[in-house]
Amino acid sequence: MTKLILAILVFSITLLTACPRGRAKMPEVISEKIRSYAVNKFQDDYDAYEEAVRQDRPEVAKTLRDGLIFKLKRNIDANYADFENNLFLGKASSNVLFDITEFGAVLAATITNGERAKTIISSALSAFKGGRKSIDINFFREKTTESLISTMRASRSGYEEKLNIGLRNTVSNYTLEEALGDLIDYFYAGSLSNALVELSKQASEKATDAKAAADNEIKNRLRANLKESITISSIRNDLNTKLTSGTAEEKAAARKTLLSVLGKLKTEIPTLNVAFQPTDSGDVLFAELQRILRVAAAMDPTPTDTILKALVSSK
Amino acid sequence: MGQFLEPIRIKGSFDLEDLQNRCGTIQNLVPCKLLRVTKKTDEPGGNFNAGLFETVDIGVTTPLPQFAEVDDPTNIPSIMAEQMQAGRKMIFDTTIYVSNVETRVLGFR
Repeated sequence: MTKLILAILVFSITLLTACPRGRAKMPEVISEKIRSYAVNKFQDDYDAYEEAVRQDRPEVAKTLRDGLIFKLKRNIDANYADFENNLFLGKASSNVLFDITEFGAVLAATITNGERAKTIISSALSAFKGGRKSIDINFFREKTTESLISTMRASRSGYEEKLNIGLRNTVSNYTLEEALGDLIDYFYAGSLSNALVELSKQASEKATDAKAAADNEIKNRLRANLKESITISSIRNDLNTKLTSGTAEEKAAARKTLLSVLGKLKTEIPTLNVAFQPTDSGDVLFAELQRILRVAAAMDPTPTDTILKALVSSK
Repeated sequence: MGQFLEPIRIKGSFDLEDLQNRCGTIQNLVPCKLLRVTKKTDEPGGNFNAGLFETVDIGVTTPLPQFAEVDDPTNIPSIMAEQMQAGRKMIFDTTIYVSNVETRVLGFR
């Protein structure tokens, strides 16, 4: 039985992971002639450029500079396309392979008789999963291939733009050495390490934006708290005036308002522990309002909006 | 003479405007007046200040406190002159957390 399972596993791993071709075959003219730029040819072009600069022939030098940069760029682009393709297919293939191995091991552990065999298969599976996780963490920092590729593309197009702008200048304003420097940046923009750094930078920028948004929210809340506290204070003073020196009707109305306010706050802000009896006098109810306003003042965030709403709706 | 309130904990992450608004809100709700703000030293889990307030009678409105950061002590005379010209008097000179950084602050009312 064990042999059968092993045979299924080996068969699956070796035969079922055959992936489709990742891209169409490149025509030979492109792959052999256009993509290649031999070192000796580069040296000839470089010498010709130097000669044109020495002879003060800026237009010729510019043509040579541009030609040289475009040939190198073409090579970089072709190699990058291969790299991107291999990265995508390589990771996809290895993931399929790893998945099949994991499923096979789980299946084997399930249907195998004998505790020792089960333990060995389970331990091997744990070690395999650990190894797979380690590859993801150490090589890809757990980023998806799509996010890595799109980051590399974005980064490359930024440097390409810089290069194109530079090449619009004369050789005295944008020398071949400067162009080569930008080309090297362009080359490294298409690397896995650059993509990981860029992704990390983007995450950090997002975190900074989120913090700024949170700070702004706090600032606006504190401004609103202050504004609302002024209105609360005014309503409270008005209630106090009515209770201390108002007419009997005004005192009764103020008591009714307080009953309503305290009733609402008891339900809406349980942490204030509002305590009163419907039979309490206006003065007792007012003292309770004062107590809860003190408690609320020490709370952060301060629930001024709820208190104000209760006061305004109870008037 | 009013009654001193238990010191109220205020976040050390607030900038000066936030701090002023927080203290102003407390003054209006209680009602009370700010006496001083100090750095809270018994909070291992973060930066906090403590506001010390004294109650005032209901109906008494205490103006919003104004805080000024002292980045250079030689600027203190000009800060004080500016605040006095606006009709305010100094209520404290202390080092507290402002945006989580220990900062010397003058308080006026």
